Amino acid sequence: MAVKHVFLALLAKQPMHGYELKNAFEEIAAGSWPLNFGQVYQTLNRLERDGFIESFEVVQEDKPDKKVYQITEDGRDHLKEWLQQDDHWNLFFDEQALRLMALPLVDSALSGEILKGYRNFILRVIAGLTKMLEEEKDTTSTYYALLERNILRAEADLTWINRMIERWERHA
Amino acid sequence: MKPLYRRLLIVGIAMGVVATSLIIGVGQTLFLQRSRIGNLVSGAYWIYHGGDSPNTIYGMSLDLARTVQSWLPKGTASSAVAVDYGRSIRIGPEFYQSNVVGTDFTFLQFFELEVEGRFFTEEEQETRKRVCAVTSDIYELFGSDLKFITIGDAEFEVVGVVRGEMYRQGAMPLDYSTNSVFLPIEVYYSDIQNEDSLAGLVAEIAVLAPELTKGDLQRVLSANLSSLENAPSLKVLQWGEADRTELVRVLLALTAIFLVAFVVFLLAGLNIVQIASASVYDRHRVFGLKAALGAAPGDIVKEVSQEILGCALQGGYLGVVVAGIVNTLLNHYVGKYWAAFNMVTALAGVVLALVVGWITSLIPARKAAMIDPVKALREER
Amino acid sequence: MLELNGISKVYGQGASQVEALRDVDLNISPGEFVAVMGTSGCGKTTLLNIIGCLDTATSGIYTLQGKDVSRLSLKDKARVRNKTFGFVFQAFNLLAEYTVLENVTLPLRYSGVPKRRWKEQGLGVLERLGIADLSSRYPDQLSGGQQQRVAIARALVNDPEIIIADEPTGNLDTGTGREIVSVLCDLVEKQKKIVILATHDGAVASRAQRLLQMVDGRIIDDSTVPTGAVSFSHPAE
Repeated sequence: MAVKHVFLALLAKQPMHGYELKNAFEEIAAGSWPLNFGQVYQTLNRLERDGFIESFEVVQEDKPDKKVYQITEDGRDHLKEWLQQDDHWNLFFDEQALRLMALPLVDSALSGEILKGYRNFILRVIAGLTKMLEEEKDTTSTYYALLERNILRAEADLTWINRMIERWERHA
Repeated sequence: MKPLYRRLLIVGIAMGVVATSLIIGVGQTLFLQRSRIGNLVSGAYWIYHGGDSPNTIYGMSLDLARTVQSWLPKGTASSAVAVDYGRSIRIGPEFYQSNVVGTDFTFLQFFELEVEGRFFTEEEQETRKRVCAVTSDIYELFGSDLKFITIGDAEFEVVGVVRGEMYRQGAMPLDYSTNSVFLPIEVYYSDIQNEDSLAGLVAEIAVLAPELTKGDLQRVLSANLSSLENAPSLKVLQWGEADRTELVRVLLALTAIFLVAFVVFLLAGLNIVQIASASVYDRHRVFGLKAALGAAPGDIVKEVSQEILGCALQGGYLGVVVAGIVNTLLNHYVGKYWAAFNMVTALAGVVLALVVGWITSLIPARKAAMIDPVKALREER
Repeated sequence: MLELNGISKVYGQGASQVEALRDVDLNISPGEFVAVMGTSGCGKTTLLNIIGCLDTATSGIYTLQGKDVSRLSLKDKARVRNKTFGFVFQAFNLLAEYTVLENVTLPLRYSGVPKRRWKEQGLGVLERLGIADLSSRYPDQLSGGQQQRVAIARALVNDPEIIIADEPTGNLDTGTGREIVSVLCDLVEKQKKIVILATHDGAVASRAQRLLQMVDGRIIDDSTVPTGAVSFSHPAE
C-alpha cells in the first residue's frame, strides 16, 4: 500500500483512470517499480473507501465505459498532511540495522567476514547505482534525485562500515 | 621569484657594491695618505708672516727677515725665500716662463739635492753677483747652450743645475722642484723686482734647528718680537704640519664615510641573505612539488642559485653605475686625495656582486633543496 | 613490479612516536588498478608516499622493478620518482605562474630530456587527454576537471609505469570525478600501467580491480573489488 499517497498526488493534479495512473507512476519511477493492475485497483479501492478519492463512469462511444478517479477535498487534506515531514525517524530503517543487532552474538572471525561482506555489497550497490545515474540523462528528473539520494546513503553506509571494520580490527 | 623580492635583492646588492667601492676607495686613500701624515720633520721649520689659516701668507720685508734670522741661536741654518711665479725669462732668443726664486746661499742645505756645477756662494751673494742655478728640467731643454739667462734687464750666469725633490710638506703649497731659477735674494730684490729691502716680498724663512722644538722657536720669536714696535704676527710651522692639518680634516671625513659604508655593507649583506631566504620560504610548496616531481637537491640548488645570480648581476650593474656617480662627486670635492675609479674597478664591482650573490645564495638554495615534499604538500592552501 | 616486505614507518621519538605503517607486505604487478580505503589516519597517504619514493620507510625492504630502493639517497629517490612515478594530488598542485604546457613539462626539466623536445612531448600528452587546446592558458583560468586533467598529463609526461593518486576526485563534482577515474582506468587497461589510488569515495573504489583496506597502519584486507549486479527492489515486494 505504499503507493497510495503517490496515487493521491497524481490524482491531485488531474483525474485519471487506472491505466493512466499506473503508467504515470511507472514513468516517474523510470521503470524501477513496475506495478500490476491488481495492486493498482486494490489501492484505488482502499482510497475510495477512505473517502480520499471518488470515481465516476465516463461513457465512451466505441469502447467500454471507463472508470475515472478524482481526488476529494478530504483527499487533498490528507495528501497535504502526508507531504509534511513528521518528527519521526526510524532507527531500524533496513534489514542491516537488525543484522547489526545480531552481530555481537556471533564469533569474532565470522563477524569480521560479515562486515567485509557488507562492505563489498555496498561497493556493488554504489557501482550499480552510479551506472544507473550515468544512464539517466535528465538531471532534473525525480528518478535522478532518487538515485542521488541512494548513492549518498550508500556512500554514508560505506564510511560507516569502514569504521565498523576498523573497530572490529582493533578489538581482534 | 616575486618581483618585489627581485627588486629588493637587486637594490640590496647594488648598495653592497657601492658601499664596497667606497670602502676600497677610502681605504686606499687612507692608506696612501697615512704615510704623509707621519712625516713631521723634526728640527725643520718655516717662519712666516701669516694669518690664522695655514695657507694665508702676508709676506715680510727683507729687513724683518734679517732681524728674525739674527735672533736665531748659533748653529741654526736659515734662509729667507722670495718667489715670483710664472716670470718671463729669456734664454738665447727664446722666452720662457719659470719661477724666479730669491734665496740665501744656505738654501741647498734644506733639501737633499744634487748639484751639477754649484749653487751660488756666500761671497757671490755678498758681492751681489748676478749668478744663478736652475732646476734640471730647464737645463734639459737647453742643454749646454744654457750659459746665460736674461730676466728683465739683468743677465745672469748659470753656474749649476739642481736636481731633487723640493716639495715641502710645509706651510705653503710651494714647489720649487721644477721650472725654477735660484739667485741671491738681495739681487732678487734689487735687479728683478726693483724694490728696496722694506718691501714685503719674503714669503718665508726656512730654519734648520735640530736642537730646538717648535715651542722653543716660538718662545725665541715672541721674546724678541715684544721689543719691536708694531710687531707683526709671525708664525712657526714644523715641516709637515700645515699640510697635515688639512689632510687630517679630509681624512677624518673619509673615515666617517668609511664607517658608514661599512655599516651599509653589513646591512646589505644581511638584507641579501634575508631576502633570498624569504623568497625561498615563501615558495616552499613550489619547491616541495618540484622535488616530488623528480627534482634532485642539486637541481633545486642550481635553480635557486641561478635566480639569485641573475639578480646579483643586475645589482652589480646598478651598483657600478651608482658607485661611478658617487666617486665622481667625491672626486670633485676631495679631488687630489681620491683613488681612481675606472674600468678595472667597475669590473671588480660586477665580479664582487656575482661572488656575493653566489655566496649568499648557498644557504637559501640548500634550504630549498632540503624541503621535504611530503611535509610541503601536506599543508592546506 | 613493486614489492613491499615488512615495511614500517615511524614518526617522532619516544613517547610521542607515531607508527604510521606497521609491517606492511604488498605486491603489485603491471596492469593492476589498486584502490586503498580506510578512515583518516589509517596510513593510506603514508603508504602511497613510501611506494612513490616520496618518503623512506624506517624498516623493511622495498623492491621496485627488481631493485632495492628502500634507503636511497635524496638524489636517487628523486631520479626514481621522476622516471617511474606520476603523481596526482587532491589539490591538483599546479603552479599558478606557469602555463598549462609549462606545468605539464615540469617533470621533463629534471629528467635529462633535452629542452627542444619538451614542447612536443607536453603537447602529445595533452592531446591524449583531449586538452591540447588549453596549453597556453593558466591554471586559474581552468575548471577543476580541466585542472586535474592537466595534473594527470603532468603525471604522464615522462611515461611512468606507476601512477599514484591521493584522493584525485576529492575536489571535483561527481560527473567530473567519474571522467577522471575513466582516464585512469584506461591507463591500466590499455597501457598496462599500475594505478594506486587512495580514496573515500565508494564510486571510485568500485571501479578499481583490487581493494586494500587499511586500519592503523596495517593492510587488513587485500581482495578483488567485488563485481556482480545487485538487484534493486521497491517496497511492494
